[in-house]
Amino acid sequence: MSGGPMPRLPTGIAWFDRLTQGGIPTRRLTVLLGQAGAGKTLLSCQIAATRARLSGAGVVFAALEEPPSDIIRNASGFTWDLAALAGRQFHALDLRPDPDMVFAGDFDLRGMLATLSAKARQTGAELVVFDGLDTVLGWLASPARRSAELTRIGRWLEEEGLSAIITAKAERHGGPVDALGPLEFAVSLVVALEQREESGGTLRALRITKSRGSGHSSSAHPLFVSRHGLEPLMWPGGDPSPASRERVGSGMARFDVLLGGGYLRGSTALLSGPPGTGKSTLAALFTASVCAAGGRAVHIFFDEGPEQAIRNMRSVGIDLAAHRASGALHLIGLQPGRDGPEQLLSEILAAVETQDATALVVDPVSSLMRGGVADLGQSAIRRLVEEARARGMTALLTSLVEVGDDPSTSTLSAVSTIADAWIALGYAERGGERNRTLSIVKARGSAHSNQTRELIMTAEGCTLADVYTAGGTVLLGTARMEREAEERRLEALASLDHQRHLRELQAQLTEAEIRQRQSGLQSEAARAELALLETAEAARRAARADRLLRIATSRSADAPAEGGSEGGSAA
Amino acid sequence: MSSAAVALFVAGGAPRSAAALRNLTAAIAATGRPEGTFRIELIDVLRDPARALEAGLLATPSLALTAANGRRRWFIGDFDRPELLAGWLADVLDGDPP
Repeated sequence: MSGGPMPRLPTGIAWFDRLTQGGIPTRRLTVLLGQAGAGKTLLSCQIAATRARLSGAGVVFAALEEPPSDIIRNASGFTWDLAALAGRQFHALDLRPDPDMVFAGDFDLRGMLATLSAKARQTGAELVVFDGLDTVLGWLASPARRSAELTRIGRWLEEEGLSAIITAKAERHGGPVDALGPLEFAVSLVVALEQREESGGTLRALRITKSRGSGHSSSAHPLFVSRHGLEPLMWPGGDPSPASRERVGSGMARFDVLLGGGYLRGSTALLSGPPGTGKSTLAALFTASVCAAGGRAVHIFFDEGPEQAIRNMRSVGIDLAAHRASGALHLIGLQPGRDGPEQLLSEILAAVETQDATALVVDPVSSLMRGGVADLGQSAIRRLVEEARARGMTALLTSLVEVGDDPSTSTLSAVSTIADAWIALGYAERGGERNRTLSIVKARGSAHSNQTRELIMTAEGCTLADVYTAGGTVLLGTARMEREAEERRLEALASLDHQRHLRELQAQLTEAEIRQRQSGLQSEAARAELALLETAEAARRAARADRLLRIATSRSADAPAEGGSEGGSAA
Repeated sequence: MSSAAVALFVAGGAPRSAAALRNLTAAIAATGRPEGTFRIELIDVLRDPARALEAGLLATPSLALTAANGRRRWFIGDFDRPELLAGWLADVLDGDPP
């Protein structure tokens, strides 16, 4: 083998090309190994169809096990629409061996390669799929003969300028499927598909067990079947796109304030709480708000049907029916028990894509985890979170919290770590009543309020009430209202008090002024009196002096003494 | 007199191709039928792959025996035991394929 990177043929399946660092090796053999039902044929059809659409070239599909009609039927309903390519770019050959065929002596597979050469030249194909090559290889008795035939196929590819995919059944001996044994050296890329049925779902995984000319991780990538065929639950290579700073309204203005402006676009928020705490209502508020703002939403219900949900939400003033009628809202009722998590995920993603949704609500997301395979459910939820981020779609997942849930295995603990924001709804029991509470446990990328608020739901809508604390406890419901009333009463009292005081002061002032005026008058009177008295005294003195003078004059004696008392004035 | 079409598909001059042709000739002789009973056609799929495609050929050498009644039977390999093949040839001719 020559050095340097091996040229690759992009398959057009983004995740597959990423995992294989470019696609399938050009003019080389790629083997898809797996047990029956692991999805080997599906993946080979998926690659064939997406590659054909990408390159415009043809694919020859050698159907060695299943009839071509079955293969095309089983691959129908996927977005790559194999049936539409059939006969144009997808050329299936029914090469199922005749069951009455008689083996007599040694042989090789050059006959089959001649058949395929003819078809490839006829159709201008660049890719050949050998579906179920193990059935034909199995005719050969020894491993040495089998590897010789694989080598022959490899050489044929180079001669014909074709690339090939082989699907083959592999036995699984306890461990993962990876045993190609002595055949492996002839093959450039080996992809092992695994499938395990569990109570609650089908676990699928893909591993690259060999990739010549490039480094590869042999870790298992969980898969599920979506409308695009096989898809990894987790996008290989981390976050598909950076987080947005844009905000999306929650449908409740006061809540938006708490969140720092709303939910972050492309983020996923978890809304958890016991039954009846308002999860569904808050979720529906969000949905309605998105639709009213011109967005497109997918709202998944598990616990109830869409019609029932519409009725329930109407009672709190939310009109989902109008948004559904306008096409902005796609309401879907799913049954959690019937399908496994991967099936449910597939349906949700299909709805998101066809609706081109800007918002997704899954109420409750716990239904994805129902059925035992917690890993699968968790991966499905992780996938939803990634999908939301990649699309810039804002997702709201509700989760039921039951009393006595084991926190280590509950949906809550699993989802709360995956979600970007976590809003806890609850009840506060106090003074003989239960009131709804809301608090933001975490909100990545947001300066948010940590305070617990009271969530109030009425026929007019929902809002958050201000927080009253008394002695370190948040007051809710009647206690809050009492507190509010008390404050109003105290306020009124204080106001009254103030006014009374004011009046009193005014009265006092008036009184003082009156008194002042009175005293002024009094002093005036006194002054007048004084003046009168002085005048009278002066008059009296003058009169007395006059009288004394007249007496002295009349006595013709001494000159009268000034101011002297009577009798003593005489010298 | 009944007859049968015998089509031998081989891939070029590989040792197995020569062995198959040799063993077929021996088997026909072993049936003891008159010459012309078996109408033999030798197809080299490397030179004429369209014939392989037409037949949906999987392996080489392959022998297709078509009886007078139209029934066709496939035999895969180089017929390392011609006596077995002689028996099958006779059966096909008698309208009773193995």
